[in-house]
Amino acid sequence: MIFLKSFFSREVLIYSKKSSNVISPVIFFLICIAFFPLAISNDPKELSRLAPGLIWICILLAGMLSIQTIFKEDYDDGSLDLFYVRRFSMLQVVLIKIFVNWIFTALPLILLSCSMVFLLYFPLEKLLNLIGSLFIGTLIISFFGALAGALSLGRNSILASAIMLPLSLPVLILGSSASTYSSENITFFILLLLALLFFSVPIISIACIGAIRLHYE
Amino acid sequence: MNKILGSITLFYHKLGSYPWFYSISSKLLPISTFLAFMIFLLGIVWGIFYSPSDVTQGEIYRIIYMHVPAASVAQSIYFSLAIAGFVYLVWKMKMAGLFIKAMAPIGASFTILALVSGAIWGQPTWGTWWVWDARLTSTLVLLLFYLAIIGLYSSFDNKKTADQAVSILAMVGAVNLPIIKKSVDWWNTLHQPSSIRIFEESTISSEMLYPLLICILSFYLMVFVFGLMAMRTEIAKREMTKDWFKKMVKKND
Amino acid sequence: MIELFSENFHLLSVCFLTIIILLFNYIWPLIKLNKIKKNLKKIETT
Repeated sequence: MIFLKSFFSREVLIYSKKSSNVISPVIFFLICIAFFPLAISNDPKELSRLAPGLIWICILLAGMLSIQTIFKEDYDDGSLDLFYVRRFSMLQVVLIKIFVNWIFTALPLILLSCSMVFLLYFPLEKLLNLIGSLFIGTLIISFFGALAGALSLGRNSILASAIMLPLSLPVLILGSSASTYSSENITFFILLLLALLFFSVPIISIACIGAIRLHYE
Repeated sequence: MNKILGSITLFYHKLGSYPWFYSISSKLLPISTFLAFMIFLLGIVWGIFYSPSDVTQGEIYRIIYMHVPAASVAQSIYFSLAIAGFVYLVWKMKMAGLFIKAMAPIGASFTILALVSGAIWGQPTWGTWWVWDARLTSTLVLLLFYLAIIGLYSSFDNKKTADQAVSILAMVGAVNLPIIKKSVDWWNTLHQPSSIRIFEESTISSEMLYPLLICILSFYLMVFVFGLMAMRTEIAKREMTKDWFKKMVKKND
Repeated sequence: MIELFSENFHLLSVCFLTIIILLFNYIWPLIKLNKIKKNLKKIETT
């Protein structure tokens, strides 16, 4: 328990000291969102029709950029070696790292996507659907991204995206459907997303531990 | 019972040894190549020249004799990769890692064949090269998985680490693939596709079915042959410096 | 036979593609294996 607390505060400290990790996904997300109307059209009707998909794609891309480096810094400066050698519980390390990363990179994006009601004319009555699906979806995406980042530790980051993006396809489909369709179907999609979350968390975290381990064998 | 179990474990241990596999596969290759080629010829010639033409599609439907076997093989290879990944991670059987490395490009090539032949088939029958249909989309994702496996493998210098990483990815991908398929299905029904039927079960008569089954069988046999060859090459790459391999090469002269 | 293919360019192209992919899968490992063997022999003789 003490380990949990101190490791958690260490992670939080790292993110709060290095604010670029938090700010750059936000900037990226805003740029992405701003470019879509410029590239497609400024017609409010069309934009509000496309908005859920656009938001989800931008969230996915921004999340992809931020989650891939989750183990990279610890790997580069050797603290991951220490965790491994000192026989820390890797499960706790992985889970805490993913969770803190989610708090600092995905949560701002979720809050920011509320502003899409103005920017992309996202229908206000579906905002709750969007936020709810984003909460669950970004968590799942974080797990997939962590696996991709762990597998491609010390390699190029394009590879990590190539691993992560196909894996997170169901999240994209379910999430954007949840925020597109009327609120009757919303529970269906939210339940499916939750099922996916509970299904993927144990599998992906075990795979993550295996992926970290293979760099030390 | 014990005897059978013993022989299975013996076979398993033999399968894990490079020299045994290399020598047994060189004996197996000529006969299986011949068989695969002959059955392929039989199926293709029967399908293209001697089976009746389709009532609605005419002659163009004969693409089925290459498209369906390729698609079936592409999926099966992926699941074999996942099984190999499991075997590699649990029992550390090095042949399983080598199997993934050897089979992934073959699977990718058959997926490409399935996609491209489907597109060429779709153009005259549906009027478009590509439809965002559930099956097509999930085949595309399958191709992405193959490419990710190939890319991940090639990014490692150490073969052992590469095998391990690739087996993890193959297993996670295989767990995810049914979910992707299912979600693409949901997505597809939500978007209410135009009334395109890819393939109507009722129209297939036995005269078309038999050559199709033969073609599918021949594709599986060919994948077996290609797999053996690719694995032999990979063994040669890894064991170049070993004595047994040098002896084997000398003996072949 | 010529009629069948000349009227169905699509079918012909799929046949062509299938043959190319099968041949590629067959020949590529052979070339690589032979290269390795050749190199080994070169090393042995020198």
